[in-house]
Amino acid sequence: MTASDADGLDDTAGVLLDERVQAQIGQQLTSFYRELVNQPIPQNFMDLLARLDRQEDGK
Amino acid sequence: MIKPVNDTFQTALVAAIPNLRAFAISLCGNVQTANDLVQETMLKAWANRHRFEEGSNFKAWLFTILRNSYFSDFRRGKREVRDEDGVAAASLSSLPEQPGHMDMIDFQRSLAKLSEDQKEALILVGAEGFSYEEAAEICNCAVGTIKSRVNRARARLVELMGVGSVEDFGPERVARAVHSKTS
Repeated sequence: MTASDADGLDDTAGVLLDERVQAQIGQQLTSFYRELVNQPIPQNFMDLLARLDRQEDGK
Repeated sequence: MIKPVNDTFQTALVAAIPNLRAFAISLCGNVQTANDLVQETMLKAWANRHRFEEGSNFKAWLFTILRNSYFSDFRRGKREVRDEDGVAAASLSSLPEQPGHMDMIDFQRSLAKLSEDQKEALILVGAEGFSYEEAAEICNCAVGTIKSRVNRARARLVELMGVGSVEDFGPERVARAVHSKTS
């Protein structure tokens, strides 16, 4: 028996629904962010670092 | 003696780039702007590397630089981009065949509708895994403020995205659930 089958448990049904939607959104947030983190670093970032490094050596 | 310290700094900086980019893309919703923002952050971090306190949280320090740059220079004016559809296409088009790709685009579109404060707090805590205390320090606000921003962000996302999921429960249950919330 689920919560919403029982009379008088509407509040519980609402909470369960909300929790399920929340969990789903949390999952989407995590996978969205993970995809961004896993993208390759653009080459010009590494060029920038190499430039900073050379500047330092030149001092 | 200076060189090894710089090498360590640079190694740590490189290691943080993917996360800085993810945060920047989430914040400004545009890959090109985000890349500029991250490069500016790297330059600022490098220029201020002697001000970083050994033993404190390096990633939090970098994130602080990035969000301050974003809010002071990038958000307003010339670099602002408000093309929500372009946003999704630009940052996620690298993996168009991936299952759930459309969900991701929908998600990014919803994320873009949150206020800047809420979006920032949600990403730092919910995606990047900073504690409320760390996020509060990064955003220079109270811990309670971060908590309420995260909660409001989640509630807003439910509003924006919840409809499709709610339908899975069937109309009757939804009606009852909605009724129970409004009564």
